[in-house]
Amino acid sequence: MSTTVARDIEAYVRDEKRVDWHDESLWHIRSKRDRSTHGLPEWEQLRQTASQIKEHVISKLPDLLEEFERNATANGVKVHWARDAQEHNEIVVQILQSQQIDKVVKSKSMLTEECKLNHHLEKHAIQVVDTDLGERIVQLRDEEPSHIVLPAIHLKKEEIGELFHEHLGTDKGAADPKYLTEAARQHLRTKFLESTAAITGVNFAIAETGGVTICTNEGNADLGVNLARVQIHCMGIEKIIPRWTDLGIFTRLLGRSATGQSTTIYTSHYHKPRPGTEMHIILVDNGRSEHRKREDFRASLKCIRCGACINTCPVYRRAGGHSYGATIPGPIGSILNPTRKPEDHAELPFASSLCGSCTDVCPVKINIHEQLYLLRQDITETSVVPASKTRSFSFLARILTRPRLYRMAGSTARWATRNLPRWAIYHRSNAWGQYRDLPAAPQDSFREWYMKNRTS
Amino acid sequence: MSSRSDILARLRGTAVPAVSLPAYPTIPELTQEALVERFRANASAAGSTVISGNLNWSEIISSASPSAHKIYSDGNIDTDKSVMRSFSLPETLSKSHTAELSRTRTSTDNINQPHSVLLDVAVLTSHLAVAENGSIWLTDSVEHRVIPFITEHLIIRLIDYDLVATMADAYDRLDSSLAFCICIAGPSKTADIEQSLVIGAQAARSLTIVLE
Repeated sequence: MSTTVARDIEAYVRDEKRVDWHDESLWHIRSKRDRSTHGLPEWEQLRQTASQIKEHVISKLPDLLEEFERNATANGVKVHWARDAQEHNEIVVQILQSQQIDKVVKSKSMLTEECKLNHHLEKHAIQVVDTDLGERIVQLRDEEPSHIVLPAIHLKKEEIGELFHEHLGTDKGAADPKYLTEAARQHLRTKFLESTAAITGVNFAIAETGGVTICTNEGNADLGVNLARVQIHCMGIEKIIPRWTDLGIFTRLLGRSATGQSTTIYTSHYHKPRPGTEMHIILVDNGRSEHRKREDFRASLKCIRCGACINTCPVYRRAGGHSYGATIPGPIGSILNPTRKPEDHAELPFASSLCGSCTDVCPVKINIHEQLYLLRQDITETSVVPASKTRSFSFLARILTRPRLYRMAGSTARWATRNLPRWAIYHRSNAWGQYRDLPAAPQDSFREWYMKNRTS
Repeated sequence: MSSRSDILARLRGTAVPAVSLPAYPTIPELTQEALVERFRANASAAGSTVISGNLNWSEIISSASPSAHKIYSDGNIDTDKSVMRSFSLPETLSKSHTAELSRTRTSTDNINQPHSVLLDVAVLTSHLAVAENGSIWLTDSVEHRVIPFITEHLIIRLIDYDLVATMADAYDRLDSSLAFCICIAGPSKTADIEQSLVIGAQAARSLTIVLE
């Protein structure tokens, strides 16, 4: 097990002002989410219903995928299946090359991030432009998104101004969000008009009707799709919902959980291509069928990618999305990434306070913090834990199982924090003393206080 | 083995206990007045403008876009401006449209290009609105699917419409066999730069809803 995550977080937290700013930005979104959900008396019922629909989906997944394929095909849609990221990327390239298309616009899709589609397209000399503003910003910076809903939440407007000055020719030093957004609008409209193919992610795919639902605030997915002659929708197999009317549950939860909006501005439903155009849907497994085998972690396949757990997470808020080194950061990502690729992401479940706030806000009631706890045990059993941890834990176990030794250690520690000089306490091996002072130690232990104060 | 059969076989190879589909929650009904009030409040909160009463189309269009030249409407509206009523945007666009984009940005020529992609104002008819989020629905009766997105300003006429309380009610009413339908809950917006709300991201810069 490496310690890359801890190192990245340590580098990130050096800039305290920036950490505070990031923390507040996300907490602001969490607060908006609270206001919009508290206004809805049926909120808990909606969560419960959504959770049960998604559990049904996981249990019936193969049947629902076949139903979806049958209905989509009847609608004139070409359905493709991909075992993994590589196959998904090859299918996209094959569709585009068969039509001699070398320019494509893409709206937000965490699946194509997971598959690293952009690199693959560029290798085949296909120009791909991300059209969500935040995605375009991170694409121009040659970075990954740091959040699944707010890809550029880690950046300051001045940095975006500098980036746009360099790439879009905006005025040097200009950092007004309105001005920068307008510049991006003009730039992206040119891209929409010159692209003959559009790729989108999928929020929901309806088995009963064979259609896909896409939610955006900018309208960028629809501009792309409706100006192109080839539309390609890429989705993980868990995005299926059974019935058309289930959208009446999920669309009420998604926007409120994500940003506190009562709904996203655009909720589009594509069932059939326009006359004379092509519509493709790619169903991607990429580790999901293996994930589904693991009973303890199966429920995380219910995720609808709203980002609520990320916004509320005290670790994410102060560590930044890039510190996770994973496509999906934050609490849900700390389950999804290591469940599928434990060799790369074994550390992530440990980067959590297990406070449970993620579970409280999840619109489909995934037991996120419980799964993180189980995943820690799973990883500890199957992989090598660093010696510093095993040694300190066995030392701690010896003290905690011997009451007299424990009491002695406690009083020594209290004496030490009061009387030793700073350099003896705040040194490199005391991780708890970095970036913060230890609290003042009381005279008595709780046990001593209780002995003195108990009345009977 | 094809990827399809491989994926399905892997999924079928895992026994997952069956979970039945739940019933939907029932939501208390609201009076028509309460629905209208909620619709107006939520539409305004999302940045839309709601208009009713005596309608003067020249004024409505001018207040959405004072310099509007290229105007499209899917129905008859009484205005002193010239309005396109049929829209012959080709299904497949060519490079010439890109050139047109750069021209229109600098040109103030009036509208004599009926094939133009880039509209200043589109006036479209909807028959379904949702109170909880101030949204309206458009279906495949839209002549070209790109119109509500590519237009600079969007005006929606609600005519003979149903105003329902929630999205759940809307999905109940909609025909699930529609080739395309869209729910629009305001002007295009983004907060991707430092969480500052900017209206007019990529699609329509404004949404005016006219109750008829």
